[in-house]
Amino acid sequence: MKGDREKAIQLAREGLSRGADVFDVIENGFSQGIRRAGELWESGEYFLPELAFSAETMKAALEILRPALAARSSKDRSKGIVVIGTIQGDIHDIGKTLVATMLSANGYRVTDLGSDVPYDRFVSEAKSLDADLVCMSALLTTTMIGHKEVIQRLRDAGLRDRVKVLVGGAPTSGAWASEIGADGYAENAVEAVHMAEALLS
Amino acid sequence: MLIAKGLRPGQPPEEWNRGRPLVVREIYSSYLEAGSEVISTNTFGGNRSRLRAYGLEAAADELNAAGVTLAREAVSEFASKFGGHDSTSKTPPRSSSGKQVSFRRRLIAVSLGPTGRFLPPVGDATEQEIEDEIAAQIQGIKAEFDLIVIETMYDLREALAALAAAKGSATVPVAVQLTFNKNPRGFFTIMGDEAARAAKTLEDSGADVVGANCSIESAEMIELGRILRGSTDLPILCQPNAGKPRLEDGTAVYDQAPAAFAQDALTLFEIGVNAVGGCCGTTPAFIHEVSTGLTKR
Repeated sequence: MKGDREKAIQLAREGLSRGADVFDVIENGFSQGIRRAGELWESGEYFLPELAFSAETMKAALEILRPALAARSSKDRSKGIVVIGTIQGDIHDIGKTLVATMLSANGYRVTDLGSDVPYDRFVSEAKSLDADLVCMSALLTTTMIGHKEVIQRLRDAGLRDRVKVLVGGAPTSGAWASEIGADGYAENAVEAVHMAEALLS
Repeated sequence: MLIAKGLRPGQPPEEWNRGRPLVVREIYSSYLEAGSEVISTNTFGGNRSRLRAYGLEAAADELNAAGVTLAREAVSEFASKFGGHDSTSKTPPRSSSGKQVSFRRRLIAVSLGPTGRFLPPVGDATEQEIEDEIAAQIQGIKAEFDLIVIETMYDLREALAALAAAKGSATVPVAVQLTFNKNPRGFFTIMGDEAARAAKTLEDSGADVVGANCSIESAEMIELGRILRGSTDLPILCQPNAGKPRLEDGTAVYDQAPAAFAQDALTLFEIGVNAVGGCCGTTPAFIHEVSTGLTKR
């Protein structure tokens, strides 16, 4: 949780070599840490650097555990498939990247499309990856309108019933999400994880 | 303001210093006529990193200089029209009767925003790179200005790098404004810089004015203004937003009325904040209300 990447990798390896159950290692080990980091963010103890550290550490540990996870179970243990990006015309991507990192640290399979993502690319990627959740960010009041456009195009492509849509970014809000027909809004990366859990459960 | 005049999504505002100079100058003029004593230039995103994203890096010097030159033109025009005073002339003008008119300087503040690059652990930029980049932006401005306002900084380290660049590249006073959010423990930047401590650090590092802008609205800014006032002896500058934006037909609408904003602005002056301006959602109408309110006091 303190963002000690080397230690996390070492612990993950140790867990495996001792023959610990890989699910147990994740659920009772690392997940506790990332959840605690999320709580500390919410209570105002943690900020972007600490959260970034924690999420990167979690990701590094999950990398080590991935082969064991795959061997243990043929079925996909990811909590859901996520496609995420910052909307067309908007180059801001720090918040979006953190959401992507936190989601993958929390067990989602995340494809990060980057920033300035064309509307149709959200649709085509959601389709080809059979995504459960599309997350869109916008930091500008001028670009957030693109969220609405993507939702329309998901509808036109017949995908809207199969995929949940989560929006975020400074000018967006819960009211904005409901106005454009998104399934939810997250103010920050921690809330995004809560929302994903609620939407995909 | 530029968006209302047709700036498109994905188009950098600084491009209009070259492409639509009359519109930019007209906006400066409208703020002067509303009562602004300081106008900030349309150069916020004029650093190399930001302009590079739009393929305009090579035009950086031209765009920044044009932004300042247009402000200078607006101030000169305003001075000749209203008998005000251009900050470049040394003595106040005299009225036809030979009596000196009130000495009310209109100042030009070069606005400098974040590079958009992040320092570790979030990103891989270095403080030196940021300082060099901001220094290049300032040095590229071959036009006269009165102040530098570094604003919307969310990482104290980047603010300090920009401050060092400003102090190393110009002799004018430098104001530094950070962007804080309120959390259960107080006001912090997204990187975790606490407001009072940040103000003190900026003072110790040679800032001439410290303050806060963007993200929070005028009522919350009063709470933050008190914290800043208690933490430094420097003049304090606060530029709140006009409430929280909501979208209407694809454009952002800020619901706060200019009068409500102005009332909070006057409270900010009462608690010892020395200068107030407007950030997102504010217009000359807001400044006019503030200015009128001040003359009535």
